[in-house]
Amino acid sequence: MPEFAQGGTLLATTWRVLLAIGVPLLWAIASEMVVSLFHRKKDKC
Amino acid sequence: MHDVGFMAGLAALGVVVGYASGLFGVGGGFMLTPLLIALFRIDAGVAVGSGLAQMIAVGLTTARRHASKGYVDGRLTGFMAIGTVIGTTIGKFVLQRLSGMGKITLWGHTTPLVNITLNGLFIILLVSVAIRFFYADGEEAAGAKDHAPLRWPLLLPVSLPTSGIMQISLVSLSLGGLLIGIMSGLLGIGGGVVLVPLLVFGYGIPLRTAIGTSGLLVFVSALAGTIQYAATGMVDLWIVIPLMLGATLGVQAGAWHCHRLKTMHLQRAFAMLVLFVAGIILFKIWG
Repeated sequence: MPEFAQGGTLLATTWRVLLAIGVPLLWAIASEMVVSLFHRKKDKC
Repeated sequence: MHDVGFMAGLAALGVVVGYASGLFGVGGGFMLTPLLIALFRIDAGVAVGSGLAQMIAVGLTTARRHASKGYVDGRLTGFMAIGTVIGTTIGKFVLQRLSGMGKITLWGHTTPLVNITLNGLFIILLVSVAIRFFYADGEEAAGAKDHAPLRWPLLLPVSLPTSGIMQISLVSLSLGGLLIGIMSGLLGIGGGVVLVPLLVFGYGIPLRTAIGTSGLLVFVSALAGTIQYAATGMVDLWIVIPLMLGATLGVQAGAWHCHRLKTMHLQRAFAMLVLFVAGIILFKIWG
């Protein structure tokens, strides 16, 4: 089992769930921001 | 944390899965999970959970890319999503009930009878879908055909302006979502590979809108699935991060291709993907 996934308290479970959905969500938002910046620059050219 | 070669391999796999998602609107779990288990020796539960978590990023990026061209129908996603989530729970429950059916020995391998039956039926369905895609004319996949068989316009009609549909039954859409969910729960697949043909041939949704909308539904179902798996410690972020780094790059390329391919070529490529999935399932039964 992954090291960050150990521990069984409610707080630990909540933290695991928040990390598991938060990291991909933040990555998707950040990468989309970079892509839109790139497209805006390309449109200006 | 894993070593650099392992992470680079995951990122490369992510690029392939992301490309398929961007091009076809599928989650890619049908190839990701078996490859994570076979090539990277990852525990099956962690492979499914981590695969689902990276699909949050992939689904959202896919939907965003297609939405930028107007190919995502948010209303359609909303009408189908509730049925999909309920259907997945029903499918899992039915699978548990059926798992006591006993075992069968084929070609020297003993496997549960329920696996052979369900996967065999699914392969027949996939091959039929592939043939339907091969022989559909470009106009049909372009969508908004009035004679789409599952519109049922007299039963609680709603409109889907993004898809160019004035009247379609809310009951039919919810039942469609439920059916996809049940299949997903029974077979352990995301459902995109069946959802896109259902939207195109059942409801007359244009192919690209079906692909973009499927991407958004992948995001919704991945979110629900990740919560379940993460709560039991089955999501490894050191697997998720390299996968989604590669996948978000792949999505850009896949969506770019999707917007540029001719509809006829896109539907033939989808047919090939469906046959590929049928091949993977056949290989799993055989193995």
